[in-house]
Amino acid sequence: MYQLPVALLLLLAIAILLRMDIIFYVVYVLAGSYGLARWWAARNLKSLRIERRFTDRIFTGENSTVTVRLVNRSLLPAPWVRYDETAAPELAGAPGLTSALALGPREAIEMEYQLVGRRRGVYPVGPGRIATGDLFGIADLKGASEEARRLVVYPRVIPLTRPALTSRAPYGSMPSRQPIYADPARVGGVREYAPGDPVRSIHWPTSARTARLQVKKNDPAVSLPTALLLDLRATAYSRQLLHNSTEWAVVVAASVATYLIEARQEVGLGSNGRDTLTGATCWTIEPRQGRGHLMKLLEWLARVEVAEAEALASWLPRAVTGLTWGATVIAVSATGDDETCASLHRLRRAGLNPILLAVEPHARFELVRERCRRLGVVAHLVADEADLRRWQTTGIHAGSGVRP
Amino acid sequence: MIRRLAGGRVFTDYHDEAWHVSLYRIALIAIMAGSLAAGPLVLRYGLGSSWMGYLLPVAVVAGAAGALTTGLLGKPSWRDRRGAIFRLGEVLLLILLARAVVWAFSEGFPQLTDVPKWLLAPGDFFTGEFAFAAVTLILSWGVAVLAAADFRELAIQPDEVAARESREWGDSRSQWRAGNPRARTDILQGFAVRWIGLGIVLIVCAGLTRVSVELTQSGVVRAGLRGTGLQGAVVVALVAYFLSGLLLMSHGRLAVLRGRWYNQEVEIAPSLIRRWHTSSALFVALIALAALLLPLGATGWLARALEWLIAMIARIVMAVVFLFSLLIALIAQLFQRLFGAPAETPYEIPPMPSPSPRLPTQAELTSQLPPWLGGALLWLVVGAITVFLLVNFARTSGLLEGRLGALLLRWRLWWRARQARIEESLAGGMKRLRAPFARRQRAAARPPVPGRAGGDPRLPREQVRRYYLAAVKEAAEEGAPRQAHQTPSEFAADLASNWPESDPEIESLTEAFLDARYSPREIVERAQRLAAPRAGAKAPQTRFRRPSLRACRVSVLFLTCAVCSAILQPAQNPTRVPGRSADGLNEADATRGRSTIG
Repeated sequence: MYQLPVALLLLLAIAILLRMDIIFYVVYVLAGSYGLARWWAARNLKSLRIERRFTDRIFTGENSTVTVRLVNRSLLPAPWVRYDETAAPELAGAPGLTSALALGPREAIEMEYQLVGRRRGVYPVGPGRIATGDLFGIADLKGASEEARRLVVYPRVIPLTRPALTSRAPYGSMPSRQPIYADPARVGGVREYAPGDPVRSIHWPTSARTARLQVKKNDPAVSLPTALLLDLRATAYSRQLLHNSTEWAVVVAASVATYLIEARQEVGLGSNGRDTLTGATCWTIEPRQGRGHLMKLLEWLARVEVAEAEALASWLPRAVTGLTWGATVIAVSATGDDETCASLHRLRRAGLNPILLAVEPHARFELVRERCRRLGVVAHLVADEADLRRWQTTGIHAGSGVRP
Repeated sequence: MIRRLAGGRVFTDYHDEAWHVSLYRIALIAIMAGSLAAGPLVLRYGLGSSWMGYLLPVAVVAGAAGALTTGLLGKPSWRDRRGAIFRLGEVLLLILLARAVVWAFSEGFPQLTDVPKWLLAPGDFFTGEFAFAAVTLILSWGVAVLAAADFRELAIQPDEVAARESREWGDSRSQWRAGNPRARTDILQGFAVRWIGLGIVLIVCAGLTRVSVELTQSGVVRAGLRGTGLQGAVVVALVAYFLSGLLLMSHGRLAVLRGRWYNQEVEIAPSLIRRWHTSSALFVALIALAALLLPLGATGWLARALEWLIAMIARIVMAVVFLFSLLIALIAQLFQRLFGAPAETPYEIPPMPSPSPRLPTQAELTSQLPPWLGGALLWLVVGAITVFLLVNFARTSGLLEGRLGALLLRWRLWWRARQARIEESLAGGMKRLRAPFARRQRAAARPPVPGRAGGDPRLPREQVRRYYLAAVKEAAEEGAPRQAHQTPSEFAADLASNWPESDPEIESLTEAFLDARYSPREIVERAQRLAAPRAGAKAPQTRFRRPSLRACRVSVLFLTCAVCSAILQPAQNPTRVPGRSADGLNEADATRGRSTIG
């Protein structure tokens, strides 16, 4: 069919010269086939519509089923349609979707394939490539579906029950063992009056009922407004452990953020890593409460990646701007170098509650911890899941800054 | 592609069975190839011959046969049958079919009286109509074979299946990659070019029937159009050719896409394959019906405009050609005037050589042969080739595997048995006839048995024997008969005791007799001839007379000389024994013998 136009011209010339009706008829048939086939193929491509449905937010290890619906909105059938949609290799539960089918008039066909969230990140799904054509090889047309949509694979979250986090902010919602942070709003019982007790602490109804002075006994509680600062500067990590350590740092940050949000605390997030969507580095998110905010934090944690950015020590003072006095600053870093510790010390002096979480294995981390202790900074080594598992049994501590 | 054999075995031949088994495609190819036969038919009719419309359906059958056998030859189980012999068998079958069809529809079936004519003039069998029909059928068959081969190549090939299967086994695809990947688009392109090209040829053949060329009185050749229309069969053939070709193009397009998708591991919905042929048939039918509604012939405004345009282009081209030729002629004339050579002397035509003496023609040379011999030989060769090709075709195509095959096998075995009996009886008769001659030949070839009676008396060995017997007879007459139990040596001892003076001669005679009687070596004739003039005449008459011992001695000595001369002549390859001369004679005896003769 590829020399058909030339042959048509030749046949037309013969038909005109010989004036034979049958040759005209043959010319009409061939020319009609040629023209109609091209028109049909172009119309097919325009009338095809692609609809895609899938769960666009999953956690690592979960699956998402992508359903592609191919609709022929035309009254003419589409003799063949090839649809290709490939997924990112990190989502490769299946090689994607590649199928050839025929669509009748106004017919719709649904196809499915699975995406497996093997690694946190934000991945494009689609656009699907579509190809169609005629029955004779005269026209081959290709097109693409609508804009690609995104699938967010959240980082893995390890559930924590009692992480060793300290707070210096009174009047919070988190119970504490320090009586100094007794919350007048959290009445835990009554006791006999003792000399020196303020008069306003007397619980008059009970005193009247017992005919003895009784004072209210308040439970101590602290608040834990927290800013999680994630160090994702590439040079801060050893080259051999860069990938695993940074991914683990993201997991630690996500797990702590999830715990704090579920404890109804305000949690903010910041990182010197690069956001894959906006390309921004050294970004921060204001502390907020609520599950919606947690989703936002997890999405940003899914998007962030290692970058050659500003060092955490120099960026920390700017990152904590706007935090209230006593707020906890959790720096998730590789090992806690001298500059980071010094910077955290300055935060301590500024009235904040800095905590260092080192995520890279360190043989002499006790030295780091001792240095931090002297600087008034709590330091923890969370190099693997075994370290993190200990936080499922310990509790929140206030004030001391030292792990019991 | 995976077949389960008896016994649960699995056989994988990677044959694209789903593609190869398609009666729809075979029918399309047959229609296209058969319609092509309308070209030669209409051309022949335009040249003034009779219309052979009956050939069109036969051409469709020929096309179907070509497509079917080509498809069958593509099967792995038919791999050993691919070859020129099989194809020649098909062609021969088509030729026979053409002959039968021409007899049936045009010339009438021949009578027995025609057979001698074919022997005398074999050309009468191959009439022009038959030759034309055969060529036309072969043309249709060839086109069908080519088209079917193209579509066979468009199928998914075994190496492609192996590559995909190997990936499923976990092997890398590259190690199973086909060495020469199929370019299905090129194959389809080739088919399209052939289809369009042959279609144009078909149209030109049909159009030529309208062209009339006349020579006017002024000597100008004038070409024009005749008003005669085409036969209905030709019109149908033209339409069928192009419509079936379009459908085949659609079929090929499906094959190209299918192969591409298979190699790219695209999941193909079964509905696509199922709907494809329906869609293409509806599409072509729609176009064909719509084309009927369009204005035909030169009445449309588009046709008139194009005619005017073509005429204008033709005039412009002719004017340009005329101007160029005029310019070239002027330049050539100018160059001739500037650099022209003087007129050359006229070329003299050399005298014609005298005709060679007349040679006898082939017919004169062969006039001695019977007139039917050439035709018979021709038919013999043609018949042998025909039978061979037909039998080969029938055997390879599986026609002999059914009931017909069993019947033919029974006939064959019956004929073989008869043939064996006939050969056996003939061999027996010939053996009996040859027996006397064979005995004579064996007797002549075999060396004569020494001493056997009845031998040739001219042979030296026989003569020695006779001399000895004559001597024995003489001795018996003289009173010393040889007893039945006596050996020649014992008899010689008796003779020596009776005639001691003749002992050496008797001993020599006995020794010569024993040599002639039992020795296998050849006794040459020369010495016998030397001895014969004397001994041959006298020896039989010699007698042993008791009173005349001298006479006996003389005769015995004479015989001894002759016999010894005859015996001791050198053989063809005598073995020299120490103590004996070259001719085998004891040197002392030889000296004695020669001296005796001398």
